[in-house]
Amino acid sequence: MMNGKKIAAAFAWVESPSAVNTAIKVLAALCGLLFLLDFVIHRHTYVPGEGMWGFYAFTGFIAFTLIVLGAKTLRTLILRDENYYGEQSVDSEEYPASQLAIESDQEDAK
Amino acid sequence: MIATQLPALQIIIPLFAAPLIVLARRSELAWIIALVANFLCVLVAWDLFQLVNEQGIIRYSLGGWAAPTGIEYFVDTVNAPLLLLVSSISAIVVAYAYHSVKKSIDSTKHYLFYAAWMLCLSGLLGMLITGDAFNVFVFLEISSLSTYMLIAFGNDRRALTASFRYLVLGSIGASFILIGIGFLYAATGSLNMLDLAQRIPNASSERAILVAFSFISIGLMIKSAIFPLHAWLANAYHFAPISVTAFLAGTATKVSLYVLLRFLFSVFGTQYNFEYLLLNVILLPAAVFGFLIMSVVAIFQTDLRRMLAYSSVAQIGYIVAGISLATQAGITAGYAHIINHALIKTALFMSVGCIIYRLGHAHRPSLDNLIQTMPLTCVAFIVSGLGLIGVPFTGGFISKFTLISASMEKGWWVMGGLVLVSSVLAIIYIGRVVDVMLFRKQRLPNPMPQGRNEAPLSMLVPMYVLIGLSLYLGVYGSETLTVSGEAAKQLLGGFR
Amino acid sequence: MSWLIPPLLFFYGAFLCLVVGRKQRTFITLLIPVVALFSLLMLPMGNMAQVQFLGFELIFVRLDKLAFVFSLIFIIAAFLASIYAWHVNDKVQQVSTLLYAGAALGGVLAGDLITLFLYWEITAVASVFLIWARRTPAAYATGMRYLLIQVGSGVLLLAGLLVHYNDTGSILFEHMGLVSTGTLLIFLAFGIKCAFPLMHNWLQDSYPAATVTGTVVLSSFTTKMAVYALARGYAGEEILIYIGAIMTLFPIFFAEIENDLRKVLAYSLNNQLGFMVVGVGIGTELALNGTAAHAFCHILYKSLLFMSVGAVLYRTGTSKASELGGLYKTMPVTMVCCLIGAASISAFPLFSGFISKSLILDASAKNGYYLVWFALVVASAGVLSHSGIKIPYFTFFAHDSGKRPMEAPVHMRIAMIITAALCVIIGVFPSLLYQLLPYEVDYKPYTTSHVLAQMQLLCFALLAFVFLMRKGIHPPEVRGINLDSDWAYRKGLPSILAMSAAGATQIATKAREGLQAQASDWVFTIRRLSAPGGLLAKGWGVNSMVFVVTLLLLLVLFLNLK
Repeated sequence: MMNGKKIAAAFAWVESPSAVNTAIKVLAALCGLLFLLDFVIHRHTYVPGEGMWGFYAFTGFIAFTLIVLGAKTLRTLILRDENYYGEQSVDSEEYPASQLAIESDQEDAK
Repeated sequence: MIATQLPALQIIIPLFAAPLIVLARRSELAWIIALVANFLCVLVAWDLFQLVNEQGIIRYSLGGWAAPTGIEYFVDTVNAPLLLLVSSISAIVVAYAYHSVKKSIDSTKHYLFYAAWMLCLSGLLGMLITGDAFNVFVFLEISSLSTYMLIAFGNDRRALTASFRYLVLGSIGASFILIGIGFLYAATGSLNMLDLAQRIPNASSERAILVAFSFISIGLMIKSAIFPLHAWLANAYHFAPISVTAFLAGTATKVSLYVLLRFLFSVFGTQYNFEYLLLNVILLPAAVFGFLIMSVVAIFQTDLRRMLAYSSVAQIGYIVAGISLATQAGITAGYAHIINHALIKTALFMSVGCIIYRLGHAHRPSLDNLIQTMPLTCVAFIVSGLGLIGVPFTGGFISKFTLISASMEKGWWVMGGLVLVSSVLAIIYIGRVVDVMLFRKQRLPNPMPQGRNEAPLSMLVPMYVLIGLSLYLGVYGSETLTVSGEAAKQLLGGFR
Repeated sequence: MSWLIPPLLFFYGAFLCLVVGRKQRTFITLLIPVVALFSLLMLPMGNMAQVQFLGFELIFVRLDKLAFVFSLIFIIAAFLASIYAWHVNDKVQQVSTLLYAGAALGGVLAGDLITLFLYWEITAVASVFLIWARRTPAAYATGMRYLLIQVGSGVLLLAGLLVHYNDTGSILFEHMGLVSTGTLLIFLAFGIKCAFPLMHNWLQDSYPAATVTGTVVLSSFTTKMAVYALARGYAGEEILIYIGAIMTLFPIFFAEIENDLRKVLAYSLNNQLGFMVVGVGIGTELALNGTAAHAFCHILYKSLLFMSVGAVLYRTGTSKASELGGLYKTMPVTMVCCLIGAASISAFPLFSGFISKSLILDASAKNGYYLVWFALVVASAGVLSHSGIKIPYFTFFAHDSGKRPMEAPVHMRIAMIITAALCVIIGVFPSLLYQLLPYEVDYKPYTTSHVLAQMQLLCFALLAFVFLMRKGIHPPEVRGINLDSDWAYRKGLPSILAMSAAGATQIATKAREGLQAQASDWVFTIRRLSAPGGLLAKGWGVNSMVFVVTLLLLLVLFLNLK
């Protein structure tokens, strides 16, 4: 359990907004660096256009954004209440607790 | 010495066991005599089976009177396996019947029950073994009359009406057969089957032959419970004592089917146009509608006996479908299904018998969670049920698979497909029972005794022996197919 | 020796589990995979355990490198799942796990179509108990739907094999190609189990309904057996490339908005299958290597993800993203393992997904399927979105749900740590896996340009995520379910039936009786005829029976004498 506590402590920074901001800045910096590397390193390519500067960077960013937006649109069409299928679906029921060991971490809950 | 008399012994042993049982009177003794006689029958049938495999056809003239004047017994690769099948099933069910009979039938009548059983057995074996057309009728009557009696032993008052209806229908069937044989005799002057087969092509009046043929086939269709002439069967199976049902389901209809095969292919021969007419216009639709409609009907039955009875009619449909193909592969499939279905259906009825023994009923919706109280019985039912559906490595799969490939070989794709459809229906009706047995919560108030309440060992052991046998024939299916193939060859080739 | 082949060992184990007590059962579930592994390693390449059946020669073991790599990972997956399920004291689940794993293994080793069909059906029947073991009415209904589709796939396979046999006279399970009705039927049977688009929904419907441990088991076998079957029978079939490409794309959107994390993983599984199917469709040595490698890695990291989400479910009682968050505080080990699984599936360099997925991507590029290649690149960004980010982020971080569950039990942690370690080891030392692949591998995943490209793709996608979260564009997790093609048979068909009945009543009020009886209630009619006491099922009176007999006799006489 000691190890577990240490690991949790190592991740505690996610609670602090300023630390998260720093992390985001680090990510942005990393992205910038990776983008710039494109100008330094020549990538081997098979597909026409793949060798374009920033090809993967743009694809990653745009694809991700479009997927999220697309999914969001899709949700407006197909989202239904959890009881939509009634008794025929597990979505509307709780997992039978007798098969689980639901326990809270007493030490931490105080 | 004994070896040469085997064909006669096959009939004489059960025939003489019957009066012996009547003399013995005490129910335990009666049962033991029946059992011993029956096992002797199995031994004889086994010897005959081996002999036929080694030496080929055995012809035996009863009382030394040579055919065609005298009565001839005739054993070949067609009826030898069935002799073994029928006597084995009977032996296993007799062993099984002891407790079930003790519980459901008045102890003063036990000796009559076993005597009737032995008569019925000798009748059935006689129909199989005899080579004489009139003799077929005689044995048919012996087996039928004793069957009516056996059915009437049922506890339910409706057993009497069921028995009576069967009696009327059965008698009509028997008279048709008699009329047919009469016509045959008039046209050819012979009653011996081999002789008939030779004389029919040169008969004086083709019209008489046709009439004979029609009457005999309809009569046998009634006795084999081929759809739509099956209506007697459901009530008879439902209300008879369950051990009788198990016995009849595996033997009676199968023997009649054998006689039908004999007359269709061996006696009348395949060269006749009218035969194809009968096969294609009457038997084929009867078979296909039979296995479809009756499977649907089986789905909706709430009593297991009734469900299995309708399922039997459906399964007979498969057999008839194979026969109506009139090819080597088709008859092989039909014949293999006679064997496999006899074993499987008997085992199913035996497991239902165990349920009835403990619960006093076989009402499907009330069997909730039966696996808790009667696990062995439930497993037996499920395993046999899988065989009925035709799951690979069970007997049912072997014969259905052969049937489907036989119908494809003849180009009857639709029928092959319909067999599959009907298998799905079988999944449903067996599945409904399994569903209740395994998954339904016991309802309150608890109608069933708590804890393990398995049927007695004397019922379970014979049942599992039979299941073992049918599983063996499922795994080593090629043995069944070899035997069936030989039988089909013999049937299509005429008497040789 | 043929009595000791790996599938049979599993069946023996299942049988033993039926009869022994709890402790021995747990032990057996662990022991059997180990023994099976030794048995597999001892098997010589080639055919063995041949059995004559109905005049067919059944080949129960056909071992070559393709079958070997799938068998190996199946055994490993069974072992890991057994550790994870150490706490389970449920005979039903333990027996069905062993049966199911053994049957999947048998399917992979099957050398002919009849054997394949046999195992195909056993996997269906054995696995449904992992769903039913949840023991709720909804799980029962879900299991029934699952079973119907799975058995249906088997029936298609049987029909296909009969037709195929009729055409070719061979039942050998080898390369077939889409050339005839028979092979098409077999293809569809494989396609159902492989969750092709529009045949996929059994997967998302059933996996989230299974038990905590059952889902881990389910995720490993059925679909990968289907991938193997496709690779064996239909390698190089071009249509598979496009089917696979669609499979990689469409589940992403569903996964993105799904709330139940186990269902998210089911969609993600579907998407990963797409990569493998593309590999099969290309069919070159490189592509088939890619499919095998990807299946291998995928089973590991997908198990790992299902394990970690399962552990959360086990401790909190829910796997819905909207109810979770902030669990890293008390379930740190689970969180780290989940992150490793997420990094692996997203194909970060040094993790297993990277070294397998790139084989397939390169194969598609080298063979000129540029559009497909691009779809796969986009799908890779999508994988990051739902499996790489969504699963760990909404479970362990995001807004604090206030839940402070205990860390997963020790055995679950052990299972997860071993699996996570395997993911990393394969990622760092790809040659370990490459040498197992069916064909010679001449491929270096860790080239500068390759690593750079992948890092650019993933980091910018991550950046997009941060951007969308900050702007509040990223859709929040809300309770609810999303419709999918299963709507057609769960809601559509019933309501069409109901509507047609209602419509019939409205339009033709005058002819109401007639119409309703015929149009909407034919089932009822069959029932009425067939139920006890119905026309077809009652004990007919003597009169009617004799009537039928007479009719038939007249018909026969007429036919014969006319």
